[in-house]
Amino acid sequence: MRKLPPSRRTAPLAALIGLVLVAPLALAGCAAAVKPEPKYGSLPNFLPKDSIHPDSALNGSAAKPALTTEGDSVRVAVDGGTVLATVAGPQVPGEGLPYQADATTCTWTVTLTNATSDVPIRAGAFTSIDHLGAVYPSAFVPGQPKPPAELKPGQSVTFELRAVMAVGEGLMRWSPDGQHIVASWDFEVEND
Amino acid sequence: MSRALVVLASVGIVAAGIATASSAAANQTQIGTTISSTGLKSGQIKHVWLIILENKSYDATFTGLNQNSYLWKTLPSQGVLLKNYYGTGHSSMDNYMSMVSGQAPEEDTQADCSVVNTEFGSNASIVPSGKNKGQVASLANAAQPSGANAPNGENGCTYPTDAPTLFNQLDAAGKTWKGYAQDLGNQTGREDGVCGAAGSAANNPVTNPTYLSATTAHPLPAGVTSFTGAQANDQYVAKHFPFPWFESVTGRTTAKGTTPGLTKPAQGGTDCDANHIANLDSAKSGLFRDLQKESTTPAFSWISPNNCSDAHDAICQGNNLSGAFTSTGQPIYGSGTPAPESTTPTNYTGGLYASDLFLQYYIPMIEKSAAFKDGGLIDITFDEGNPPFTYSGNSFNNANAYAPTSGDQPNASAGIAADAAGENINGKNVASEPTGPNSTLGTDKSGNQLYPGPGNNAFIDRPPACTATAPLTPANCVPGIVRAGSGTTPGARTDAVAGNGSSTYVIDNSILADDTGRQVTDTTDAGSPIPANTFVGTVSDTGPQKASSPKGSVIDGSFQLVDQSGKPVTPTGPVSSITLSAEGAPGHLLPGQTADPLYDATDATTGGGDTGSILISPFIKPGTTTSTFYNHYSWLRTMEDIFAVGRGHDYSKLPAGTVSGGIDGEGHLGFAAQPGLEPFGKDVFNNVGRHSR
Repeated sequence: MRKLPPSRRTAPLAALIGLVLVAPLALAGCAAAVKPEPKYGSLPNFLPKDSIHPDSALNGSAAKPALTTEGDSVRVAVDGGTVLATVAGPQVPGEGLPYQADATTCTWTVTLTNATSDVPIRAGAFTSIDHLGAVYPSAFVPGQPKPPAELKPGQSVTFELRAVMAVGEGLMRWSPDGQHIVASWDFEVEND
Repeated sequence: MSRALVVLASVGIVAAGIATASSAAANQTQIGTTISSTGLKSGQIKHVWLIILENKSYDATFTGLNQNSYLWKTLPSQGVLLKNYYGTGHSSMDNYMSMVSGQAPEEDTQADCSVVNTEFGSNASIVPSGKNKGQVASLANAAQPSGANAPNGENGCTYPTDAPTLFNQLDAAGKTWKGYAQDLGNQTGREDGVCGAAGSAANNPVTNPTYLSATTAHPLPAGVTSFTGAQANDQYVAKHFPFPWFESVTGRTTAKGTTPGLTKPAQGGTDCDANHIANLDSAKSGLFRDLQKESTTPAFSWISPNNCSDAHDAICQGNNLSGAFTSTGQPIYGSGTPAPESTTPTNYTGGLYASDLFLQYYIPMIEKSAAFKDGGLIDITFDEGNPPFTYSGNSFNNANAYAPTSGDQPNASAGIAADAAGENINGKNVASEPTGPNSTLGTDKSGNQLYPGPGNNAFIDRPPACTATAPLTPANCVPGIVRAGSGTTPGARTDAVAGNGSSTYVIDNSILADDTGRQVTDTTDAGSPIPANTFVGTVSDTGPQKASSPKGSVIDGSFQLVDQSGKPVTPTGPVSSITLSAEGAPGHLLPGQTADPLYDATDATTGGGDTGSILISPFIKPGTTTSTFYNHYSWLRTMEDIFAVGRGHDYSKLPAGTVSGGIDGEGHLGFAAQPGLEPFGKDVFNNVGRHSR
């Protein structure tokens, strides 16, 4: 017969002692006392499986600009590194009202995070274009704190941009160098 | 089997038999027996987690207006949505009292104990019989002309020793329980009282009451900026944690010493020790630690998120957990303890946005536990529905041009409906509930409401009280009215805005739907650019926006300028500041006032409004709904039935009923013992057959 290591040989005795100690405490009876407790960790089977898979961020560069929808993030290639950029909006005043103008004040929220190199921030680098091809320069929202002129590695910033543009389809475009668009976010100016 | 094993096993079995003989005998009569009308059998549900959120009406929460898709979509897909679940009063604290004790609202708890925490009533003022049997009457009532409902601060907040709670019943039934509160104890001196009571350990309601609003004689302690509201390092508020407000749980301290609470916990100790009251994220006694094994998970867990995570604050004073998730949305659980507030928040947005973060963090944590899989029940609910959708605070998106229902307009009738009552008696939905001895619904001969009622009228503007001597003024005053929480018609207001000569819209983040109709003037900007006789037209508020600091804004608001006929008006130049006219009671307008759309003298606010509620359990079919009317009293009755507290062992006589027998001898306390009151039924526990033992 193969000789068991000491710890294996003593295990049954330890189990018996445990049984004696645990059994009186177990209200459900002795059968439950010897049954190991289920482990913590997994979701129960009866719950519906989560069908929502978060989008992975697109990559955008001057050579291959990214096109996505507002609210989504783009990992933008900038000089010597990347930054995760998100444009959400626009918010418009007077949404859902009986009287609607053909153009309205649009406000976008821009978030830049996870910079790995210096990223210049200029309102003029963001332009929107409507479905008729008209281009609208953006401006920082008056009264809001202005973002720094440059985002340093590891920093994050959120700021708002505003433009008055036509109701309908539109794209918000970002060209950090002022010449090459690296990412565009599709949106709709809706006020009805 | 060796000889030694047989002997030892036998000893263990015998010992177990001795230790559990009495409970085993009791269980023999329970197994297989259907209790009340929940459709459940005794012992089927072994663990309950109650998560209570704050101040949101059903249409704000379950209509997708507030970027809270986890609560609006994901959680209902996992369980049952109670579409007509009602709070029992307004403001918050009275709802918590009703849930755990069946006590009806009284003025000081309706006002969230905002003045001073003294004793409310006494054992001698517990109503011994009749329709209000078991209710505690305010000792201040007798001095009131109304005979009920003394003004805030004069009634007291902490219930007397002989008013039992669900927790006493669980003790007596041998069931374990724990109250978890987020941030509990973060700030020294803020909630160091027994069971999480506001104040220091030296405070008690009898000899050294805590003054919750600072006075010259009673300033706030060092480091405490508010007892009733959140502060950056500690967003816990005692008004949202029911345990410290019952001497039946805390015991009673007088100059002669401290007498214990009504009952002793199943596992020994006291009801306020670390086994029963804990910081939610405590490494030693918090939720995550307790969930690791079923044997360490209490049978009943009460979870109070802080004043940010419970959706109460629109902008959070501190961490809203927005930084506690990975880039793919997975909760970051720290090693050993979850510590979500050790992360840096990405914004300070509150409301239903923040409560979604809390739920996404903690619900999966519970669902992954063995205790949940073995007869668990998660219950996510709200205290009250007020304020209504079209008002401030409830919904980030609140406009008067669109709404979940076309009738949801910013007027008094919407406000009245937002504080509606509802429950189910003998199988029939009713729009009423008992109001008890303190908050009456009486009217004068003209039909004017004389008392706050359970809804407390806080968002309805009521008539003023009269001058003490004749002639009684003002003209619309009501003799004998007890104003309590009711609102007052607003005065003039100045907002910082943005407008110009090319648009009829003005951007105004302070504008609310109920400002519609107020006259607009601008005497600040050059040339007074807003023409005479211009008014607030349709209002639009949208959100939530991400607040970058606790002082930020989460709402983008705007409105259209209109003339008396409703036609759009364009300013003659830039507009940076406007003044809205004062409002007045319709029929009693003074020069310059416009009609107050929230003024109502004659309609009662009868309850806490429809909040909706979600329950998730192996005994509930995912993705189901029910329209049956339930309220906090139904909830208490359900918990009492689930844990069969009526079969507990404490039948010592109280002024009304007993701990285990309750008011009705069947284990139901306060108004949970209303004859015919339906607990959550087979429409809620609709999957029992597939998971029966």
